[in-house]
Parts: sequence; C-alpha cells; structure tokens
Amino acid sequence: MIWLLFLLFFLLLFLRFPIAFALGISTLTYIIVEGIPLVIIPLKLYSGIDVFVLLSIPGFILAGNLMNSSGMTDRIIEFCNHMLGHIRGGLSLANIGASMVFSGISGTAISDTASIGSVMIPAMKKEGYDSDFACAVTAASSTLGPIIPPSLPMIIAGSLTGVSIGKLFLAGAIPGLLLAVGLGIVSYNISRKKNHPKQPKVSWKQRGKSMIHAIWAILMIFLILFGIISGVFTPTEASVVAVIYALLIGVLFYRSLSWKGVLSVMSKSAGTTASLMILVGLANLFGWILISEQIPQGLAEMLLSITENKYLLLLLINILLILIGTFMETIAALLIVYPILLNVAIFAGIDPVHFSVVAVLNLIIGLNTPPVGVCLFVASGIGKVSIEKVAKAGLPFLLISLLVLLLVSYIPALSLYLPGLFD
Amino acid sequence: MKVTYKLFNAGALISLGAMIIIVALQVFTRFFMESTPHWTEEAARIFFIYSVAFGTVIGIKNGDFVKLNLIGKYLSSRNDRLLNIFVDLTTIAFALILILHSIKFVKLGMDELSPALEITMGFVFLSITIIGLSIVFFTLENLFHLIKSIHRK
Repeated sequence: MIWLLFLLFFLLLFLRFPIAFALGISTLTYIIVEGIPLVIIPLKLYSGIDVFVLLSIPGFILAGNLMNSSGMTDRIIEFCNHMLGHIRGGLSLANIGASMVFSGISGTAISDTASIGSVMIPAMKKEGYDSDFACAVTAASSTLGPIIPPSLPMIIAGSLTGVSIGKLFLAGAIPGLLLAVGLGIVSYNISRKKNHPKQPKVSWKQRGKSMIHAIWAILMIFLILFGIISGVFTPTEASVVAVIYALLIGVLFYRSLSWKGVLSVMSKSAGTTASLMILVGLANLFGWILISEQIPQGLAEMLLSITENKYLLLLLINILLILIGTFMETIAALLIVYPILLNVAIFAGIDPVHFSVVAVLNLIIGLNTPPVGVCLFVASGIGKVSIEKVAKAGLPFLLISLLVLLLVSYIPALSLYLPGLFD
Repeated sequence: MKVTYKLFNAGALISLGAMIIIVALQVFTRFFMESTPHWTEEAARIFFIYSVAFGTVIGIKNGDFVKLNLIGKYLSSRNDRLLNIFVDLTTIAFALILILHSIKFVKLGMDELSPALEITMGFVFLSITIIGLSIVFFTLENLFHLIKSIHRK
C-alpha cells in the first residue's frame, strides 16, 4: 500500500497544498488505511522538532534578519561594490561577493536571495543590466548561503545522522568558495560579451573606509565560524551568540534598530522557523512510515544491485539527488532521502562527511531549477520577471554549478581537507 | 481573530526570547562561572517548541509554508479560488484530527516528568495541540476571506 502514500503526496503537491501538509495528509491517509493508531501523528511531529541542534535554526534566521534590518547587509554590499565594481559587469560580481559574505552568517538561500536581491536587483537594473540577468545572478549566487558555513541544511543533516556539524560546516567551505569563483567567472564572461557597465574605480582610501563600515559584519562571521570549529560553542550556542552580537551592533552601535523593530524582526523569524519546523516534524512522520515499510533498505538494495562501484554509485546518487532536488524542497528532501542514501554511500566506502557535502550541493542546485526552484521564485518576484526568463538566463550558472558538483563528487579532498586538519 | 493573533504573536515572542536568553545564560555560565545549570538545555528546548507552536500563526499569515504552483496559470480565476477553498478545507480537517489525537498524547504525558526540570510532559506536549488550533483558526480566517471575495464578484 506504500504506493498510495507516494501517489497521494505528489497529487497533493500538484494541487498546491503546502509541502508540510501534503506530507501530513498523505501519511494520515496511509495510517488510517493501515489501521495504525493515530496518536503516532502528534508523537512523531513532536519528536521531529524536539532536537537540540534544531534550536540553532531560529538563531541563524533571526541573526540574518537582524543584520538586514540594522543595515549591516547594505554595508557588506557597499564594501563588495567598492572592491569589485570597477570590473566589467562589476555589480554582478559584487552581488556574488556579497552573497558569499552574507552566507557566512545566514544559513539559507532564500534569505540570501531576498536580502541581497532586494538591494542588488534594482541597482543592477538602474545601471542598465537586463532584469533577467540581474535576477539570475542573484538566484544563482544565493545558493552559496546553504553551502558556505553556517548552513541550515548541514545542521539538519548532522542532526539526522550524528555526523559532527562542525565538521560538516568546514567541509562545505572549499566547495562553497569554488562555487563562488565558478559563478564569478561565468558572470564576468557574460558581462564582457554583453558589454555590461562598469563603475568608476574607487580609491583604496575609500575602500578602506567601506571595509571599516562593514567590519562588524565581517567580524561576526569569524566569531560564528571559529566558535563552532574550535569547539568553543555548539552550533546552537553560536547562533544565539550571533543574535546577541547583531542586536548589540544594531541597537547600541549603529543605532539603526529600535526595540520595536527588533520585536517585528523576531516575530517574522518565529513565523519562518515555525513553518520550517512543522515541515521537519511532518517529514519525520512520513519518514517513519518509510522506515517501517523498509523502503530505505529496498532503495539501497536496488542501487547496490545496479553497481557496487563507488564511482558509478556516486554518479547514480548524484543523478537521483538532482532529480529529487528539482521536484522537492531542500529540507523536505534532505529529511526523507538523505539518511537512506547515506547508508548506501557508507556501504560503498564513501566518507559520510564527503557524501553530506555532495548531497547538500545537489539539493541546493535544485533551488535554481524549475519547477520548484525557490530562489528563482523569490528573485523573479523582486525583479518582476517571469520564472521562465530567469531560469533561461540562469542556465550558464546552472551548468557551472553542475561542474563544481562533479568536481566535489570526485575529488573528496575538496570537502575532506579542512575537517581533516582538526582531527 | 485579531486578539487571538496578538496573543499568539506575544506567545511566540516570549518563547523565542526566553530560548535565546537561556542559551545565552548557558554560554555565559560556562565561561564565567564555576558550573553551568543542568536545566538550560531542556528549558531551551521547551521554549523552542512553544515558539514553534505560537509561531505557526505568523507562518500561516506571512505565507511561509512553501508550496508549488504548477497549475496556477492553467486555471480560471473561479477554479483557482475553488481549489484554494478545497486545500483550506482539507488542511482544516487534517488539523482537527491532529488536535483530537494530540489530546490523547497530552493525556499520555500527564504521568511523565521531564528529566531535569520535572515538568509534567503533558504541558509540553500541549504545544502540538496549539499547532493544530493555530492551523484551524487561521486557515478558517483565510477561507472566510476567500468566500467573501467570491461573493463580492
């Protein structure tokens, strides 16, 4: 009867149910048909949320939102502009650079798209870039958010499997930088071909000034990363330290945040967190059914029956994950599919940390592919361009992301070098 | 409805604030005091779950629940609205079942104490009932606006 669960889930998704409720309602139906006691629903919803590491999610979301409202994000953008603006297509490079810096604080792609995009897309349009390109660069570069640490998907991956989150964070750093460089090269080439504008060169004195303006944001990144990596803070503690830091800077130092503003930012962050956590809880319920039906073993056996070769298996898993990432939201996909595939990977002798980076990279590339590319939606909403146009303009970025994925898949050192230093 | 929203919003703010203060306390005591209180992790987790419970309303109101719109452009505006009504009604039915069985879950937790703080777990499990109630109330509100907008047409 397991087909009923999947059929219903996809039908509900198609009928525009929120993903969380599509998971919940399809599982509910299955539970009723199979005669399982219904009290399992609140129980699994609760146990899915009641995980200490997940407390870092509201923390990082809140810290990112506080940075936006305190004007810290604008300062990061200004700094990147001063450093990169004079190159041809400089604003798009600054867009990528700012996303990279911002992703050192926020852990999600959506907040990255929204906060950088709302400043950069109008600015790029005004300078004469075509809107499709401006939106595509924004959407593509925001995938840096969840791969460069701290990373929300890595937190969830760690909480599911017990792999050290500090190690996962470190492992994402080089692949993230590689992706940023790749996106930068593609963007520069497009800009040269299309003769995109460049800005007048800024003096080093001016650059120094804008760096001092942005210094608090940059220090915050170091605080978070070194805190977690050195083991001084757990991820949850680091997220709370980031919140308090952003509060102090915003309220006392920049004086750009009022207490009323802080409350409205908190309320917004609580809403985002709640909707994410209900998704996590209901995916936990859905996943429980899959486990009790032994779907993970089935899938693992199927994959291993095709090949036991590590490299072919990685390719197969990559293709599978890209497909899943295209049709499913990152967190939901991570919760349901990642633990299953991790077992297959471990069986084939792939390092769990390496595999986690590959899996997360796969799923976040899906953020930029239609039909479910959340970043495409947000960027096209800000730029008022149709999704199709943004997706088309984003194609070169998608290709370079896939190339980076391939490199990360087949050169384990890219992910394992940094965590290895701390063993 | 407005009063309920304000109440839930306040609940979310208090829970989230308390969670942050408690985790901060944990960090502070570890660095500057001899010992860390043993209850911080558990208390932070309880406030976290309550911030999710009360925050559900905010998530629904801000449209934070991600959904796919693959069929939107093929629907007439009338069918579009009818589909929304169907989605809302089904969601409410699901949440009602969740509420009903979460009460059983709460009852189960009435004999259970949390390990560190010795709080009756039933009160913690009540957060799931609040999630269910939030979904019902505020999806009903959406539904009400939808139906009103159809009438106006």
